[in-house]
Amino acid sequence: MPTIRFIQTDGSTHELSASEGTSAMQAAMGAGLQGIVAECGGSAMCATCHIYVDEDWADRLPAPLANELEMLECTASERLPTSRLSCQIKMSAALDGIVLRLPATQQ
Amino acid sequence: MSGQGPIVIVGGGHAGAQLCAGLVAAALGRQVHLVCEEVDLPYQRPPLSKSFLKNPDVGGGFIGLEVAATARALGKEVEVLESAPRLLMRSVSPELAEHVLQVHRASGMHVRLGVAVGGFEVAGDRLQALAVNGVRQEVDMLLLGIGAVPEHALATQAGLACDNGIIVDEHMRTSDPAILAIGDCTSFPEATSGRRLRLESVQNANDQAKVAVGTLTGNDAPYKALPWFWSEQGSLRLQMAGLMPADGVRHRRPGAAPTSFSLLHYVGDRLVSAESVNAPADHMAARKLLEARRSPAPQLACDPARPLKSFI
Repeated sequence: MPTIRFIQTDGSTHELSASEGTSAMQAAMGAGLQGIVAECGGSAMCATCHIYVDEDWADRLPAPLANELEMLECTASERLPTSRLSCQIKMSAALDGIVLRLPATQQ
Repeated sequence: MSGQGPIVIVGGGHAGAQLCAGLVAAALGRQVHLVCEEVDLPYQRPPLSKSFLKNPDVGGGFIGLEVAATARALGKEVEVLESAPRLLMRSVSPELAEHVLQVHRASGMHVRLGVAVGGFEVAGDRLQALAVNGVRQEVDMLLLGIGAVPEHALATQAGLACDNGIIVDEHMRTSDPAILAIGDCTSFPEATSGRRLRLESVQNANDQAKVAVGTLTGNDAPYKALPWFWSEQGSLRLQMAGLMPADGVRHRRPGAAPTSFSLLHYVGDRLVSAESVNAPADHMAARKLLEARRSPAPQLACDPARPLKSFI
């Protein structure tokens, strides 16, 4: 199973594994990771699973679709060029080891 | 509510799972047990329940239309039968319901309103036909999306006061001080009016779980979260914030695309609710305005040249 490294704002890291085809958000919620809220459960409706993709990985993800782009305008923490919604990051072998940084707040 | 013994959560729906996660995160040093009928561990249900279904039919509410739109997108013949004179009677304004109807009909979905359904004809273990307004109609598959009633048999047995749901106060306490209740099954006092409400929504499950965690950890804060809902039906992304007033005046705010707009509902000069179609940024802005109790004048709020979030 591909792994994801989540980095909290205090620098602490959490290595989680995720089944292929599931989202990074689901891996975080399944593990009870603090910092991901995911109010809408993965429908790109709430912008509370916002993360910053590590720069080394940002280019390896498919570009966000229109609905994700629109919700990224509504994040509680600053939107950066590497901002994504973790519910829209589908895990695959190619993303094994991806590094995702959590924002200061989701709400 | 405090204590040292274990906390038992009955029910593995969204509210139960969120409460469980919240209690674990609160690190109370008390055991938490979750008991549910399902054989699988609680999980994040909304996306699963809304994308795994195929091949539908009866009820012009959110569930029926979400399934019907998905089936239509898969090229299936779908007919939606609704007893009310319009779609989404319980949850959205007449204008929005009319828009939804037009979009679905344009996609090839058959929609019949104000019909009486009955006369189920079963052969073996298969439904063969039903009667629509007394006329026999054959069916391949039928989906009933006709609403839910709160299951409070266990609560009643435990002696809890129930009336259209388990009665709770603003801290999610039932009539028994040792028992809390949260989620779709609760009848709770609305923060501003005090009138009793029962909501079937993910937001309500999430936010009531948070209030319950507070009540159990001694950080009591009353439930006053803004209700919001969403529904994805084919090309329609519907997002609603606040509760629809019975006596409101509606103003239409155009969206960025021709297929997007928002309806802003005012009572007097106060913004009380917003319905958005394919306009998530305006929905988010409306939620923030409603939470902050800000009410930009309708002619300003409906000016597409001004982002709605500029009024926050």
